Amino acid sequence: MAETAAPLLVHNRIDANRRNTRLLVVCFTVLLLPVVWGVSWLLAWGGVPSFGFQVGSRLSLVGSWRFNIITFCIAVLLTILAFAAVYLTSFFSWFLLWKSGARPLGKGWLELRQVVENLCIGAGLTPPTLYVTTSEVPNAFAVGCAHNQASLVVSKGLLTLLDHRELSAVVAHELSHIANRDTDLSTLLAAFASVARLPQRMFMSVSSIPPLFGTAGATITGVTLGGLLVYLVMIMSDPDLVWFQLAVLMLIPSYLFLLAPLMIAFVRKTISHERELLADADAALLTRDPEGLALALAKVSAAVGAPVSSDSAFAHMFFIDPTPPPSFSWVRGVSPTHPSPDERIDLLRRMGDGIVEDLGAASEAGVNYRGEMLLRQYAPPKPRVAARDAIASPEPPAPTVRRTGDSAKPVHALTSQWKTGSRFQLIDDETPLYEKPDGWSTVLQRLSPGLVVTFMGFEGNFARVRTEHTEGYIARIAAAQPTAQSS
Amino acid sequence: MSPAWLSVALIAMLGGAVLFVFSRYNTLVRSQKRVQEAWSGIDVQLRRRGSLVPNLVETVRGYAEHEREVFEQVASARGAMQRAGSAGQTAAASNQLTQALGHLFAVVENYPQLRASENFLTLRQDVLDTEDKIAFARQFYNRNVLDYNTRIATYPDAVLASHFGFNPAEFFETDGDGRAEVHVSFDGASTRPHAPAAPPAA
Repeated sequence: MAETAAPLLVHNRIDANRRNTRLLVVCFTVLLLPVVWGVSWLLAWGGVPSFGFQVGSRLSLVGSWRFNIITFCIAVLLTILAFAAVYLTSFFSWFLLWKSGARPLGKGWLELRQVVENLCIGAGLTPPTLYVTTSEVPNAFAVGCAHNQASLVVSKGLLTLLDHRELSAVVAHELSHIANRDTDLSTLLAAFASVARLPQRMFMSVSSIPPLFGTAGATITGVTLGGLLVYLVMIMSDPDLVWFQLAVLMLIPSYLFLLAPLMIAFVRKTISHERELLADADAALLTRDPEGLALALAKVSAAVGAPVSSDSAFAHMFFIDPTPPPSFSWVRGVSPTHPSPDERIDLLRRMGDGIVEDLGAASEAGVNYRGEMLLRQYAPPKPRVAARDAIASPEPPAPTVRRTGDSAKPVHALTSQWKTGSRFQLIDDETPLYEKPDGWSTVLQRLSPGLVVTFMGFEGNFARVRTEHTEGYIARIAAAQPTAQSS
Repeated sequence: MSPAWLSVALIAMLGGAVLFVFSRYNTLVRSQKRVQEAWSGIDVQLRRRGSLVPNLVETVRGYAEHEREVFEQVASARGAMQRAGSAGQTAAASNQLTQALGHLFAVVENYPQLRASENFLTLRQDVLDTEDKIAFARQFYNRNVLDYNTRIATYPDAVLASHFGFNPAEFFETDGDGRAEVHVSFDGASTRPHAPAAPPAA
């Protein structure tokens, strides 16, 4: 692959990618047909109860009414699944936003707004909806099912760590994903990945109970290998119906635990490796500053790896793989979701005037940031207000907030120090007040920082609060501190 | 082959050819419309800057009345902007205005009171942001022009383009100090620039 042969314009890229996706679907269908055929054959042969019918020779089943009906049913099921997948994509982008704890960007953050606006003008895109997560781990991702309904999510950590130039580079990278229509596919992949990993996760959560832990790995391996062995024996010997059904049953765990995650991992690797590099190249074209992106990569890759885990089903969507290195699993080892930061920087080195600035200093800044972040997480909650000030927010907290912040310890909403009837002051910009204890419910009001609310009790991940005029729920993660009177 | 079949085949081929020409023509028109749309993107930002400049000049004049030369530069650049017809002329006038504003900001450095004026700071921030936006809009416009010009210069669209009178569009050029193009290559061998719009950075 020499120069980017990709079309120059957003419109042309969208057309090209739409064609590619269609091609992919056709290929997938063609590949699936033999599977449908095979499964129908197996089911017709022995997988379903025979209801007293005489089962003839195996080959005569092909073309029998039973075979035809089963094939038809499976084909219909697959079609339904394919359509469901399309809807799943749009549902999943909402799910992802909700899961990452992203909140719409409040007032302020003018720098980010301007960067996004300007780069969108340069790329010819409709500006995406902006979200910010409370996470201090620097990262960003884009979701959305159409390039004019996309959302861009950045973490607070990213805004803290990066300067203007590096932030532009990261935003440009994510906008390139949106422009290249990668977001559709990667959201779909994330949906598949998390569905495919569901049984594994359920098993893991059961097996993480300490006494069971040691047996978990042995059980998975045992069931999987046992299933394969029984299946092989069945194929070689003359099949007895009962044994055969057992073999089919034993195949299910090996599919769930082995084949499905592996397939997803493989698809993710092939698709996302190239697209990440392409998005990097596009970002450099858009900002005309490959060095800025290289600096951002060096900084962010040094700063992640903090023990703030995120679901690895979504790992491929982020700017940099957010999964901490210690949780190394063999599937991910075989097929990483991202090209390594070094590989990406190497690509950038070959553009423009190369990279002149010292990347070592950048990654050192990232390492330092990570250290501070870990300190904040394990230290007493003092730095909550300090951390807010450190973020280059154009709107400093109201003076009243800062005064009480000095006298009383700021309290993160999650702590159990909240007592019913006590009064608290909100810290964050535009804390949403929900109608029900549910992130999907109507937002009654956006509460301004410094507002005093009365705490009424916890309900799940929400706290019921009363303001002067209304009553509702705020998320437990909302930052607040006790007022001077109550403490 | 019977004559009936032959005529059916002929009609099918003719129909196919006509459809092909239609679709190529539509693509050309679409491409041209995109150039126009991208131009209006630049135009919006130029207008925004144009409306900011009188305020800026008035604010600065309040503190630094005798800096006539700078004000005249800005005024003449604005005049050139208003007279400009084609993309090339607009680009030249816009560059002139950018330079004049640069001089204006340089002059302001000598007036500490003005530098501290909130009104001036807001205006300057707005103007600088608009300059950024113009640069990005220019980048998008030039990409569109490159795409369109390449289309109408290459076969088979070139035939249609000359027949239906599609003329090449003008690039929005800057003079050097704008944002330089970046060359992308995945193997390090090829370094041909994507767009001839701007010379590489010095």
